[in-house]
Amino acid sequence: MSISGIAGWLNIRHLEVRLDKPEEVYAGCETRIPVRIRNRKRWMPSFLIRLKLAGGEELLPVLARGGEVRGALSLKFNRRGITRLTEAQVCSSFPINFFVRCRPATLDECVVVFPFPRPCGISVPGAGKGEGGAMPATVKGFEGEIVRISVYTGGEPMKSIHWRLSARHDELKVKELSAFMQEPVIIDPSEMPGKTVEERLSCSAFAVKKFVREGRPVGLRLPQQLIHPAVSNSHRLNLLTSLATYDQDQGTT
Amino acid sequence: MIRIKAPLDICSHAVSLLALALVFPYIDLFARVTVVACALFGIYCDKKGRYPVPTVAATIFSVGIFVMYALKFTMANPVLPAVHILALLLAVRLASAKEPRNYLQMYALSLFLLAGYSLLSLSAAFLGYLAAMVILIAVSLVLLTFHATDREMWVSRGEARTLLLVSTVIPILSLFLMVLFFFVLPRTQYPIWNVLNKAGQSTTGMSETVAPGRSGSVAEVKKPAFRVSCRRIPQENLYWRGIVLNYFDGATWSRGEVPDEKSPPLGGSFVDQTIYPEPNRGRYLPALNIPASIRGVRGTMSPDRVFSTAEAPTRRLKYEARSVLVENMPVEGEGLSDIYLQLPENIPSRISELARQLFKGATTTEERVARLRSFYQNQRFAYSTTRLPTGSDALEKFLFETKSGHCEFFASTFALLLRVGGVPARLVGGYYGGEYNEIGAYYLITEDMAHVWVEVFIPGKGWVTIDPSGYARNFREVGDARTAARKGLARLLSVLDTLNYYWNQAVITYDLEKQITLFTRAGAGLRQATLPRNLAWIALILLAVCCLAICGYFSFRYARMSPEARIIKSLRRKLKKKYGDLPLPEAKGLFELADELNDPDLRKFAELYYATFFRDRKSSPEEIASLRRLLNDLK
Repeated sequence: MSISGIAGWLNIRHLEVRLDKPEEVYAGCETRIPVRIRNRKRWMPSFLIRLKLAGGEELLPVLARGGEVRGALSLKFNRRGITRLTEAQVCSSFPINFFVRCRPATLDECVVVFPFPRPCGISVPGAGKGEGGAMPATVKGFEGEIVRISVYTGGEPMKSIHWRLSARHDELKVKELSAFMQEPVIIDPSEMPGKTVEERLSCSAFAVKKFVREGRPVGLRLPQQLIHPAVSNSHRLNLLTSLATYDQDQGTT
Repeated sequence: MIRIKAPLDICSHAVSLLALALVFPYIDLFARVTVVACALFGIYCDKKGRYPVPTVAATIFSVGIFVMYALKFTMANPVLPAVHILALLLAVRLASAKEPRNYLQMYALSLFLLAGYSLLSLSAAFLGYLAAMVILIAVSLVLLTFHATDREMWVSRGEARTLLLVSTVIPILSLFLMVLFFFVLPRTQYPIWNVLNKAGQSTTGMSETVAPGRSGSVAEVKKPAFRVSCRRIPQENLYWRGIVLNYFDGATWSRGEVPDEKSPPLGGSFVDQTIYPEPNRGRYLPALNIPASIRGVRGTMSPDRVFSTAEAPTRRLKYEARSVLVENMPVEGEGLSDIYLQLPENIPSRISELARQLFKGATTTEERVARLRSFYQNQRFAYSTTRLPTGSDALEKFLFETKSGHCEFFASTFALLLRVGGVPARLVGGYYGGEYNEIGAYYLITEDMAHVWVEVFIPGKGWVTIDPSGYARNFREVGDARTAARKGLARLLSVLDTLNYYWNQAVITYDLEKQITLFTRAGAGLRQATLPRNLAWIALILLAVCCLAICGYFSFRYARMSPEARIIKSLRRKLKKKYGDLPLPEAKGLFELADELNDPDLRKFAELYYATFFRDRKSSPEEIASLRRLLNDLK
């Protein structure tokens, strides 16, 4: 009993837990968060390590001495905002399944939980189908109308070659298409549909995701700040982060 | 990849089969057949992963077995029915489907069977079986923990090897602790476990009767009878006296009523012996001829110096005997009971006639004994354990026809002739010979060394020991064979017997008394500890070597580290001291850490550190020294 007790005690010692931050975590949605456990013991491997964090669990059968193992935790955060993860539980029933021994593992990780993107009726200018919509841009693109036919220079994608026209000429002809430029939208969470702030933020998050997916520049008007419209992925994450930290004191109302 | 269930099944089968194999020789035919069938079937089922026997059927069968053998349970014989029940329950468990708790049941049943085996056999091999069982069960329990966590767990070959290695280390370490606990844990004065072992299996060994002519040959069994720790003794003195037989009914010598006679204390050369008899040997306690006293066991000494206990001891015991190497045992007073002249009703006429002729004209006892001695020497009898005379006239055949027989014939005829001639005589049963084990410094006396000789009463001298078998023309060879050192395989067996001897000495007969003695001695030893001069020096040198080895190891490690790694290690130590338990992940850079901790000193250090090491030339000792100075200033 004493030997197995010591073995069990050593088994969960000197384990370093680290989370690989996921790009997007939405409130109320289960997300797989990559996790790494490193066994810092020089002589002894660790066995049957069960990592418990924020309601999620991951089992790692064998952790070689000095080695690192990757896993993933299925976590679900119910509230938006910045969630600080300071402690995980490292548990194991090794060596003999008579009792489970646990030990806290220190963490210093922050996870930004975005508001849940709840579909809603969006009433921002130019958001409706008939209202405004796309306007052709002056730059070349790949999804607009044919602007002109030009000679193939070797750099154009194959799909843009106008085969029927090329057949009539001695050289390859390509279609030059226009790029769609959508009208920019600025979302003001306070004007979004919803009874509570959370509902309005959920609707805003949905709108941000929707507009960026459609390629429409989207910005955000916050009480103290205006974020100008843009369409990039980093911009989208920036907007969602702003929505996540929006008025956090009133977030529960 | 390996599925955890595979090594788990192998270990569990090994545990169960070991336990079943140990008790196999002791169980009945039905149990043997069932055990073998169930074990084979169970292994097949585990391999295929299919279990056709329904749980209900297995349970009903188990209950049936339990009832069947529980009916055979008696207070006189509790062990064997219990062993049968345990063996069959384990066999049924092997043959049916196994949940994790069923594996635990199998291990428990196997351990109980091992305990049961220890009641049936007390050999030193038990230690080996126990060690094997402990290791196998511990490894199985670790594997079972994995299996219980996930029934379909697979691990790589390397991981499986690591797991098996670690799980083997655990029981090996616990075996060391077991040895410590064996000596330290408090003991009862009487072995509780022994209550179950009351059933005497068979009382082989020195016979309490002597009946020459009962069988045509004697099977020589090389089974240990007892071991005696004492100094080496000349071969001619190796007579181990056990029992005195004073009544002869014409066919059998037995122990009748012992007349009261007083013998004064014996004088001469003493031999102290510690004797370890095998259990179930009967109640007579053998000791070197002639025993003066026996200590360490509750027993009585009868007037003819036969030591015995009230009941045959069923557990292993040891006792100390003191003997005197003399040929005669003086008796106080003149009158000697007529019992030693008792004769059977029908003495064969040829024997009476022989006695008459032999003792004709002999006036003293000594003369009669001398004439009988020369008769035996002249007849050129042969000592043999085969082709023995049998039947009611076996003694006549021995004396006049075959002239060949074993000690019983020699002693019986010698004593009978003396009694017919009016000389008091009695038979002494015991052992002759002994293999001296040089390693353990003890004599091993085996059952085939059982022997019978004669004691003759000579006025003025008392009881004189005479071994008529010694007059056989080939008796010296018998004696040599019984005391010769073994060779080859037999020598190996002798070494194994040494292990048995130490096992009995250190483990089986270890009781409360020994434990108290151990603690008292240890306490006294510590109080009066005076190290010999040399020992102190050796200890000092060893200590110095250990210190040097440890210093060498750490210096080697330090030398292998680069200067920047050494500095970073010192820095981390300093930061840990300064910021306590704050996490300082190794992945973080120094600048990042300095910003996070808002530590201007650390930032300054980081600037110098990167400027010193991260460039295209080697850093100078001055630069490293200035970095060290900065590190020392870091507070």
